[in-house]
Amino acid sequence: MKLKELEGWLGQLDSFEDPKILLEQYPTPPHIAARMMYTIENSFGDIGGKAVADLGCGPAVLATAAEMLGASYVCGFEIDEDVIEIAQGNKQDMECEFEIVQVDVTKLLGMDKRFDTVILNPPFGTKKNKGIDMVFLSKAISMATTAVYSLHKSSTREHIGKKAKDWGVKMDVVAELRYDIPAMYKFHKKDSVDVRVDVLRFDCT
Amino acid sequence: MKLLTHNMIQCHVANCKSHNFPLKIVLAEENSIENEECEMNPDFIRHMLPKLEWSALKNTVDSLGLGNLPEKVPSPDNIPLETLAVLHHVLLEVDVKNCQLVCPNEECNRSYPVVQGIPNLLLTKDEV
Repeated sequence: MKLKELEGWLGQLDSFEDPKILLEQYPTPPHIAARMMYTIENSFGDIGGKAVADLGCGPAVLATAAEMLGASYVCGFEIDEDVIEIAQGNKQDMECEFEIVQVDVTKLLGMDKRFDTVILNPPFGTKKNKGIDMVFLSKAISMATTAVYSLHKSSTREHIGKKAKDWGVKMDVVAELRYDIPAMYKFHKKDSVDVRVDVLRFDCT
Repeated sequence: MKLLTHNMIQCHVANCKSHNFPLKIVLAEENSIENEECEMNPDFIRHMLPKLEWSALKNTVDSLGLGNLPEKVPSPDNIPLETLAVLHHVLLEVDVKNCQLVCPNEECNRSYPVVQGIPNLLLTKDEV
């Protein structure tokens, strides 16, 4: 599948209807999701024929992309019932087969090394959730046998690099993208904000 | 919920530390299992063998009467065709839509609902 085609499909998915700031619900724009997933498959071969988990899957944009790029098994983990309903709708619209489990990812137990690849656009850990991005990331690393791919603000690259070193995993920046966050919440003063984000790869072999 | 997913789920109650896997599938009604036929990928099945909890899978497949699996996990290079077919079916085609997942630990017995194929593992405050 070509990048443009993938982006086109992902652009048809429904997003958060009533985003919740406490869960830091920001959509992964089709532009970002398509480039992230396309790179993971085409530069690393970590999607096709693999078992893939999507942590904090939201409306399942990354999960859908993983299935479209040929993953053999995909499971999204999500806490919020309302957004799971949207994910379920997207799954039906796209005739996908991916799985959804309703769970608090920070409390997820017993999944060590059960997946090949784990992908995530974690809560960035601002506002009241400081550090939650690192909790998601360490959970992801424990679940993967090959690699974890995660989206983070470029401004946190150095901090995450140090953590990766502590955990004994190699981290690489595989893409630098611009994340256009539209004004969604009351405290957003501008129409939209451009945030620089990295797609980071963590080697779990 | 596919049985591949079920094969990874243990009881999440904080105090429940032993005999908390695999969760027992108690079906809601006769038609709560569906089949979603899909093309078999033998390489994927072989690839997943080391990632499975074999006895839990066999136990579950037996209890639901879904097919015959050997007692011991087959070696990926030497897996009979019929076993491959059963595995493909039970891991990726069988889709449990509505059931309760019951913790096998008798002191716990926590039940997790699966509704429209989605297991709900969320806990109440006093279970965390």
